[in-house]
Amino acid sequence: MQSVEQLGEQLGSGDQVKVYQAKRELAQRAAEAGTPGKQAARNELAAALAKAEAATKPRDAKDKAPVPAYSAGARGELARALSEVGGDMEVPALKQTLGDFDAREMARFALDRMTCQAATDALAEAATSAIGAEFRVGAINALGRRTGSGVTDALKKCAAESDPHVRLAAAEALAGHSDASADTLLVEAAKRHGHRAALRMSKARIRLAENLVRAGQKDAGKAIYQSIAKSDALKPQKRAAEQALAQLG
Amino acid sequence: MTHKSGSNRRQFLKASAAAAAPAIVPASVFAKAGEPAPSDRVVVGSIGTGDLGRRHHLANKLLPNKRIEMAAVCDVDRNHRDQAAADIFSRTGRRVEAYKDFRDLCDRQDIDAVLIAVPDHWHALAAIYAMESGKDVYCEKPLTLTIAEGQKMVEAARRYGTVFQTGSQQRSDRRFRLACELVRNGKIGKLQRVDTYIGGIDSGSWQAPTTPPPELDWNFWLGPAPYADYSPNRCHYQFRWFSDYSGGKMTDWGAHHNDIAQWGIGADGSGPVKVKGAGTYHPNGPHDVPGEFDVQYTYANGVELYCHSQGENGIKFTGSDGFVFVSRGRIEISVGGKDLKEYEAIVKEFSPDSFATKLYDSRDHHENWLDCIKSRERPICDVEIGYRSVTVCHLGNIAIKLGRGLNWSPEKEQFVGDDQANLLVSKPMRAPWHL
Repeated sequence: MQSVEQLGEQLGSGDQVKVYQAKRELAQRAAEAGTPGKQAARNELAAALAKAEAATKPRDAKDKAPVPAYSAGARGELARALSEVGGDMEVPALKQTLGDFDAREMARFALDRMTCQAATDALAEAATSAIGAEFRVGAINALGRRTGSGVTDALKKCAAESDPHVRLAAAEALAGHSDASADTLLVEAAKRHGHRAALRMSKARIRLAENLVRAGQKDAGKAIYQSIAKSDALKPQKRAAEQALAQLG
Repeated sequence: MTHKSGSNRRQFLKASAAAAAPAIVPASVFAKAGEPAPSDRVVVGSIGTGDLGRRHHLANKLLPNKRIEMAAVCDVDRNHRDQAAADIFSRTGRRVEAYKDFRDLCDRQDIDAVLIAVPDHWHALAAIYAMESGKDVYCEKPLTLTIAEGQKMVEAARRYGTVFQTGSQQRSDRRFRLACELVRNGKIGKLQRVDTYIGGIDSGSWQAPTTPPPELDWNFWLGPAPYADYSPNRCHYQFRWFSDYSGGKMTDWGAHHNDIAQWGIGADGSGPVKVKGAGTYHPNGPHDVPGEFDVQYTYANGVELYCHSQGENGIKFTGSDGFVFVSRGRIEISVGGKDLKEYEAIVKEFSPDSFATKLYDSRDHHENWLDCIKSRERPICDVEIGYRSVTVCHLGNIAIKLGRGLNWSPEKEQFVGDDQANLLVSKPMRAPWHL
């Protein structure tokens, strides 16, 4: 069995077969370590993967900062394996990769999959302060499906921004939660950003209403449905709202 | 000519016909003899016009159907979409728009319904967008890439009252229905086990990454999947053997045969409670889905389902008194000393018209969909059925990947006591895509 470091080298080798074989070995080891009752093995593998993910090596020039020890592609695959075994302790390594434009997307993928609060915090930080709207939208979308402290605060902060991609994604992500105040943001975003955005927000309002009802906030959900039913929203959303109101009584 | 929305056009035409009397009404308003009136046709957009979408659905099912008016096509491969538009022009004389982005097609208010035949990793996103745009949907199997996608598709369908047909057309084949009715009516005794034989795959061949062809928007093709350099063997048709886009043979054929197994077991709307499996992955790639496998599922009623990659393609139901085997083109029952291998002979022997339990009778999968669009009833492979059937396949792939037995709650739709398995219920997506 190869060490994680050796697998990291193999993943960056550029040889398609060797890369495939390294990925297979990582997947197998993650599966074994993730067996219920094998927490020690899981912790050990997670720690090794995180160490490799964050490892650096000196550059040739003495006065330059060190660089990642493994290629962006290799770190992406290490992150993928880490997402299946990692927890709070391993998030710092992935956060470090978030700072690397070439590798950050797969680090975000990994955090997206991990359910711990530290991963949520890292995604919230990426959503609110990373550079690059498209990358931030990925983090925002991930927050739309997460619970935990800080999620709605981060999304509301993003929903107040001027960048339309970030703003709309955040408003939409809030619809995945059960905070009735999000409806105001959805309505505002719909007015500011054109027809396609209005359509997105209208669909999101329907989802928000449903989530509110599911969370026991029936009146808040009904209020949104009623608002949509009376508005100039497109037929599918109006019909969905009317259908929901009929079912709610 | 710009079309008004389907229902507005129908209302407009009806109102025009009345208000214009005794003015002359165009003959085009009225049906030709033996054909539906234009206002009764379903206006359809085709999303995904590659091999299956164009050569099968468009050529064999959509264009020949007088109840359908083709209004648009969509594909991220310009050649695919233009060829499909050309097929429509050649057949009907009508020019239709050819879109790259399925959202542009779905935003058209004159389109009533869409047929989706895109790679698996796109099914959920395209279908949900279509449903939220008020379209009825026919979506190819396997319905989803992940279990979580199926949950969202069912939610959207119920939210919008969509008539949603999963492309598991075996349910509209009389042999499969007869087999399941024989089982459900106890004609082989108490059902004990089901075996599905779905085939394996080879390893494939490595190809060097290369520049995508100019007609293909590779980044859009990838969509929510992680970025990978283009090579032809990742794309059209071959995507099935790469886990970022599909679930291999387990979902490709499992979605057909495990669906029939669910039907025969009586597990629509539910699923197994245990799964364990073994499989082999090709040692050198590139295909990274299981090549050969055997998976065992246990249902709450004690029935065992075994899904094999080896063996004659088909499904075998084994009961306390005999068995039924069914595949495309073949049905056989062996019970009480009798061994019948012809459909008509089996019907004559067992008289299914007298059965207490009758299953949904659909003679043609696309016609059933169109009938239900009109009646607003659920079609034979409603979205929930398609979701539950493909979930059986996903459970198998997860069990193979993790190499251990798993407990599944079909009520809660999650694994019991295995948080790592629950991580595999969904996959992250590239921005801007999300469920």
